[in-house]
Formats: sequence, structure tokens, C-alpha cells
Amino acid sequence: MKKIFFGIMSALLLTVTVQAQEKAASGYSPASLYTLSWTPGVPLGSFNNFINTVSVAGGNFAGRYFLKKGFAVGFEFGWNNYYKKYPRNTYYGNDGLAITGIFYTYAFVVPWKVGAYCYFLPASIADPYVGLSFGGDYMEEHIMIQEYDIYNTQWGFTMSPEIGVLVKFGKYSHWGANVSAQYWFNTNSFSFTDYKAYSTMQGLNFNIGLTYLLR
Amino acid sequence: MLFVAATVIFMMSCANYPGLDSRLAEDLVDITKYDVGTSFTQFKTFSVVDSLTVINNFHDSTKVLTPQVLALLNQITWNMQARGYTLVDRKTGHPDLGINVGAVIVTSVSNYYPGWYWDYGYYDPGFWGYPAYYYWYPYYPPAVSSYSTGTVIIEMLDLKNAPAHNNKLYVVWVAVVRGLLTGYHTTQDVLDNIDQCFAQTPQIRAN
Repeated sequence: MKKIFFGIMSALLLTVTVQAQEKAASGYSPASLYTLSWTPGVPLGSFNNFINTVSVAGGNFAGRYFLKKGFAVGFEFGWNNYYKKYPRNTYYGNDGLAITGIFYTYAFVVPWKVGAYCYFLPASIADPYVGLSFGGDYMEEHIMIQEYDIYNTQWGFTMSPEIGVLVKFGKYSHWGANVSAQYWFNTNSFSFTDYKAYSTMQGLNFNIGLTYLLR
Repeated sequence: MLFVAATVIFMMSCANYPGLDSRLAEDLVDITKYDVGTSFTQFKTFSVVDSLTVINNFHDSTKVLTPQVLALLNQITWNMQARGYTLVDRKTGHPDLGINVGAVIVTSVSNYYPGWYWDYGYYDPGFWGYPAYYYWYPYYPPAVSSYSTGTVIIEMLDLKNAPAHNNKLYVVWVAVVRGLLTGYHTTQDVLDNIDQCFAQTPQIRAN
């Protein structure tokens, strides 16, 4: 009885192992891929001091090209809107101006980046990866109180490490889903008054996207 | 792919901030600006107009004194006295500061330069004993691009130094309260917002 049991178990384990190896080996390694993502963002640090709200309005488009198995370079650009309504309060300018009322803060972030990425299981259905990208961030920051729109626009250097996973919809499918978390910081800084200054913006974006892969 | 693109665009539009019209309709807003080059402790006395100029389009300004307007004028006086200034008669007391109060009661007025109402039925500088003078902001004033019905404008004039200012009556402080005299607000709202204008300008004090 024991022999039969171990025999069946051994056969099952062998089958599962062979299937797993086949799954891992039977996919394909893409030559390039393109991803369109929804990118909710969470402001951190100084940026969070300016506007502490989650951005659900964001997206990006990314392209990646595999130089050799598992190693890719690529580009990405995107945007995020952050907006928050504040209760009635007084805002002081540094030129004798003071305004009391309901006001809004708003930020617009547009990253343009290139990067390098390491995919650990490029031929498998689920392919985890890490990456590092850098480039420039265009930013607008607004404080709006009725007809007043006090704003800054600027460009700054940006860098962002990323960790994620690419899941193909099938062994030979050209389509897949991409999910990643991306921390970013940039060198932008701005001030609206003498005592309200913000420097080194930071945030955390979650990318949820649809990927098209090319062999 | 189209689904994702549509979702992204939809989410983006959801998070856009409200337009100007929505922000204008939202609530009362108190806007003040003072001349940072003026020391308000040099002034000791003041006088306030005895009625409110209603600025009605360009050519139809009138003076009114309703119970609510009277409460507004009295609240200005009360705040000035609380800051250490002494109320004196406009003609015989030679006040250091004069205070004009006007209200815009139409919505068709928009995109005018600051002080546009000075030429249209507003208090003439002669009202303060300086007929050959004209009003002047010694700073860039609040650029209110449109005036909602009931916007109250309070202007504090430097009468003490008028002779030294080359025929100009400097407006050393301006307060704009949007939507105050619409008829929808109580007298207490009026008083609270006048208080707020002074509260956000602690620089106005005699001592």
C-alpha cells in the first residue's frame, strides 16, 4: 500500500514539475513591448505637504526594447493630476495680499523618462522585473481661490526606481497585463509665500496597464 | 487598449478642478491688500463715508444707507477704533485716513482694471477736501477680473500725506468682499466678513 501511495505521489510530483518546466520554457521572450497604464499616484514628502490627496487621474505610455534576454531599455511619458479642495481659510501673500475663502490646490506632473529594466523570467507567463528610469518632470502647481490662480510652472530632473510584474494572457499571446509600483522624486521646488516653500517633490505611483508584446 | 485609454481619459477628467464660474459662486471671499511701504502707526485719526456708493454698470451710481449698510459702516468704525484710531469729522477734524465704501450690484461688470469705478459716481476726491487730486494705488492692487453681485469694496485713503504725493490720494489698503450684499446674507454675515478683513490685516494699528 505504501509503495503504491509513494508511487502515485512521485508520479504526480513529476507531472507537476514537468508541466511547470514546460510552462516556463515553452513561452517566448519578447523583443519589445508597449504598455498603456492607469497610474494612480500618492504624493510623498514635501509634495504631500502641498497637496495630500491621491491622484486617480493619471496615465502613462511606455515602450521597452530587449537588448538581450531579460535586459531592456525603454522610455515612458505620462501625467498625473492632483487636486484638493480645502475649507475656508486665509492665505497670505508676501506682497500685502491676504485672501480668505474656500481654496483649491492643484498639481500637474508630466514625466518624460528613459530607463533600464531587468526581467527575471522573460519567457514565462508571469515575469517580475525591476527598473530604474530618469529624465525630466514638467510640473504645474496652482493655488486657486475664486478668480485668483496663483501658479508656478517648471522643469526638474527626475529619477524613479520601479518594481513590477508582467503577466502574459497566454503562452503565445501578444497581450498581457502590467502591474508595478514606482517611487519618484524630482528636483522641482516652488514657493507661494515666504513661509510656504516646497522642494524635492516625491511620490509613489501604481501602474496598472495593458501591454502589447512583440516577438 | 481602447478601454484602458478611455478609462485613463475618464479618470483624468474626473479629477479636474472646478471652473471659475463654480469657484465664484461658492462662497464669500475676503480679499485685502495693503501698501507694504506704508507705516500705519503714523496715522491717528480717521473718518468713514456716511453712505455706500452702489456701482451700477458705468453711469448709474447712487448712494444708499440701509440698516445693513449702516451696520457695515459702523463695523468698520468699530474695527478702526479697536486698532487705536480716533474717529473725527470728515470736514472739520482733518482725518489722517479716509475710508470709502462701495458695492457692485450688477453681474455684467467684468474684466476691468483695478479702480475702474472711481470715475463712475464714486466718491470724488473733493469729498475728502482734495478736489484737484485723484486716487492712486501705490502697489499693484488685487486684480479682480469680474465682480459678482453684491461685491463690497472698502478703500482706505492716506489723507495725511496727500500734499507730499503730487495730487494723488494713496489707497493704502483695499478690501474686497465678494458676494456680501446680495440680499442672501444676514447682517451678522456682513459684520463677520468686515471683521475678517481687518483680522487678516494686523498691520493696520495706530500704536
